[in-house]
Amino acid sequence: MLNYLAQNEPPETNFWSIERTTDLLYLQKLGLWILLAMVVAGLIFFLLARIPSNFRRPVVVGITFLSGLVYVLQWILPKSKAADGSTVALIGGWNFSEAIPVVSGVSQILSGMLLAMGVYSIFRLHFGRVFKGHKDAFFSIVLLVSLFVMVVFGFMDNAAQEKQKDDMNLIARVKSFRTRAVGGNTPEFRELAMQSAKLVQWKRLDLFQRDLEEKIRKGEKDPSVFEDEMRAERAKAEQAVRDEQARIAAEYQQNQTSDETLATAREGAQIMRERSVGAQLFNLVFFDMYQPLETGMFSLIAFFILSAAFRAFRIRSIEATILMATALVVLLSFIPLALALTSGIDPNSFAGNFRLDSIGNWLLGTLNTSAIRGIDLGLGLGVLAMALRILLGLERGVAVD
Amino acid sequence: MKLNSALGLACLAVLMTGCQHVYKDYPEYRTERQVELIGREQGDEPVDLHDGKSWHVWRLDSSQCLLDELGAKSAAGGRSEGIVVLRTLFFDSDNEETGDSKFNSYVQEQLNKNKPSPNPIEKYRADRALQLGAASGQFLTPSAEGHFYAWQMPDGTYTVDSVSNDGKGGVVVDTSASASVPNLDAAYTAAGGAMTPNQLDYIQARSAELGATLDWGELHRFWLLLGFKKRGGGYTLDFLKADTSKGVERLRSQDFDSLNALALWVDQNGVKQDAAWADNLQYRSNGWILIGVVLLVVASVLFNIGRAKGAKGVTIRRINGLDQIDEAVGRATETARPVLMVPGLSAQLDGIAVQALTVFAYVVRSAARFRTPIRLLNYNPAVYAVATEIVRDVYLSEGVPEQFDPDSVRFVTDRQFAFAAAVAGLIQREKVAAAFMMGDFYAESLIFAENANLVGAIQVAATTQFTQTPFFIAACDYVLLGDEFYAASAYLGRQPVLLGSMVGIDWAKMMFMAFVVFAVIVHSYQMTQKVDLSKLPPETRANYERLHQVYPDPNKDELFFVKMTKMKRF
Repeated sequence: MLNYLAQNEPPETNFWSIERTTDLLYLQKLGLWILLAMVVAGLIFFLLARIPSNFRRPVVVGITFLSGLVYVLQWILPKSKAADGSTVALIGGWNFSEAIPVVSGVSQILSGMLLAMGVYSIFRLHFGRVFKGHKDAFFSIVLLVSLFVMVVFGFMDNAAQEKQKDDMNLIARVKSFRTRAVGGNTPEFRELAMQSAKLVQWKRLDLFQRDLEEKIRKGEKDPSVFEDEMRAERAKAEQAVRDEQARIAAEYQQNQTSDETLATAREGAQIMRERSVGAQLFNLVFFDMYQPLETGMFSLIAFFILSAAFRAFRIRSIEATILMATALVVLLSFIPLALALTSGIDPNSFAGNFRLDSIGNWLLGTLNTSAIRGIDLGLGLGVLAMALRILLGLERGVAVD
Repeated sequence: MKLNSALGLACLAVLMTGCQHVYKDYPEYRTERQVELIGREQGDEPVDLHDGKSWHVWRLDSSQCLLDELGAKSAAGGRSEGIVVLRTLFFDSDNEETGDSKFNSYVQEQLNKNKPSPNPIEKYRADRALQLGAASGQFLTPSAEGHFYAWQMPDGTYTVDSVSNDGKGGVVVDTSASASVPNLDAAYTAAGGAMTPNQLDYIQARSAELGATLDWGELHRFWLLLGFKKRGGGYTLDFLKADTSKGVERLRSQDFDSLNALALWVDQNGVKQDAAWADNLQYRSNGWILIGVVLLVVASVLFNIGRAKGAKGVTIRRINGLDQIDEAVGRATETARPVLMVPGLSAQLDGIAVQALTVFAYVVRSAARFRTPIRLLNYNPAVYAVATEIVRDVYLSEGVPEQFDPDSVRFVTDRQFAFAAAVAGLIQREKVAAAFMMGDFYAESLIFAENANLVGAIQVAATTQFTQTPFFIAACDYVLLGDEFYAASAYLGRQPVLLGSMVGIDWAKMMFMAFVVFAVIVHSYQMTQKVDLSKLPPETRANYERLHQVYPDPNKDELFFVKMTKMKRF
């Protein structure tokens, strides 16, 4: 059973993975498995809820112990590793490394389900505020609207990404068939290439216009030439589109695809994604609105560091004075002007040990690092003890009771 | 629904009902199947496989294709009735970035699977003997690529071939690199003579034991494969762990009918030529010390738990931050302002978050007794779910379930600075009286602490991220340092089990401190010793000498202490 769970030598199709044959068959099989898994999970939840309260603790402790044991055994059982990255168990063929993705997969699924609870919490709080006419109801409305807008725009952007993925797959398939000398040009591909030819040229025209405007702004070109140059470039672009579309049509007739057409189609698919409403809206709300806000929040830390340092370094006791002096030296050791004070001392002489940068480095590298390592060691030991208590069911905290 | 999906459904229906349509012959299959897939372009020509199956590939309208695996339908008397579609495989789009095609790789894989090995090892020996006109041939020694094989020529000289595996059970011989030598000793020299004495001893002993001669072998960094040819026919493959300094150890042994089968097994089992096997890999870098130390700490914890359960018990020192919990909650009660709790920004429900929630349960218990409002803000939905249950249970156990406000435990967001903004906003709006920040914190730690300070809240903080500890120390009233955080549940609960585990950890700390002192003394003593090159193992000495060729050390024979006094800087 353990070997089976550990999947020492996973066959192509096994309990965890089913054979991927036709898309539909695969989906239907997968659907059945998911349905079955949900029924089993429902049954387990039902049974767990029915457990008398005095048996709950043994159940929780038992499951925790077994789950933790997988990781412990995975670490402790000797195993070998080949250069190709595969791991080979040496004792009894128990290779728990193979089982870890399954165990963590289960916990990921559970976390995914819990996200719904989190969203429910947000809805309950903020819809409640809106309906009860709370004084901050306006902000709740803003939050809920933002939440829905982000979800909708996110899906729209995702749809645009999927469309690009489909287009790229189409291009790859056409390319792949071309290499097998059976043509492979399809009406869909012709349509994509035709559209792409136009988009690529218009994008170039846009770039040309931007470039020209930049030159005019810098005074490298006279503003009067703008109209003429744009007209000429537009005519050139139109001609290029016509030529390319004619080539694409001819290729379709002959059931062939050239490298140029493939490149155009690829670029066109990218432009379509960039110019899709979904991508633009998502970029607007995420990159143009949310990220600047996030950056603003982050920049606040600079001011908070200052105010916290001001309070921490007030001289109230011997310890605070030492702290203050040390901090001052380290601060000065990072300031070029202060470093100039001791820069005259030969760094290789004995007195070189008393240069500001030497003292600063010594404080950070010797005193600070050793203190941090001490804390780190304590943390490591603390984690070990806590893990041991939880694993053995000795922890009588709320999480296990 | 797309047509190909409909097609897939049709295939599915056929597959599920088990009815196989029998086509009279191949042209009929093509015509009928094309009618079925009407509007489709013609498929590729069928590709014959060596096991008698054949395929037909139908390209679908977009970037997908369908592969029919065809087989002959046999009647009762073994007479062929026609062609049936054994299996239909659907291939989706190719990878857009790399252009990798699942279809292409499937075809390639099938072709490789059914292709006979082009140059089996026994065929090589027969062909090469004829080619050279050699009188006899013999195995010389294993090599990293395969093995060396020596052919005795009619004139008494030897030709040495380097035979390497091709990865498909066959062999590759670069005849241009073959050397011609006068005798067998020179042949061994030409082959490099890579075997160590203990390996040769093993081969001798094993040959006698099996009554066999060594006929095949591969020698790699950590392992050695040997194929013995038995007198009665058949081969035995020994798989050895070969550590040049310690000797060899047989891991497994397997019998084969022929040398070809043996070589094929080696290839198929991923025993790759470039594989550097590392046994006990988790023990390789630190030896058994790592696990020994862990077991020692575990033993120390368990022993002290047992001791604490005894009549004598144990005592632990006071932890200021935890002593202040009741005072902080008391102040919140007096001012009728809420108590804020943040269980960190753990990416998942881990031990750190659980530990934080354990402490918070104690805080909530105090708050429930005084009817003080609480705010428990979560970054992670899984932590939120557990926190809700814990808080509800605490109110229930205190006999005031009606006091539990579901909105007091909230999931806020899982974006770091959005979470920071929300917490800072709540602190400012509700003017919290006490703030407990425990768990994993990152850059936002100071935003929380400074905002709480601005509204005059008592702050108790603990974080496992030691880069954030200084920020909390600078801004908060009480900070639990390092493992004090993990000791919190023990300290608050005062249960013997937990107290015992704390004492166990303290023992471990003392052990580490003693070890550090010991290591400092030993290392210092070592540094005062002269470097005596003759006492070093040969490999280390070679490394040392090579190093000093590159970086000459003019004072290498001097005492370390003398060097120290000569140095201008310390």
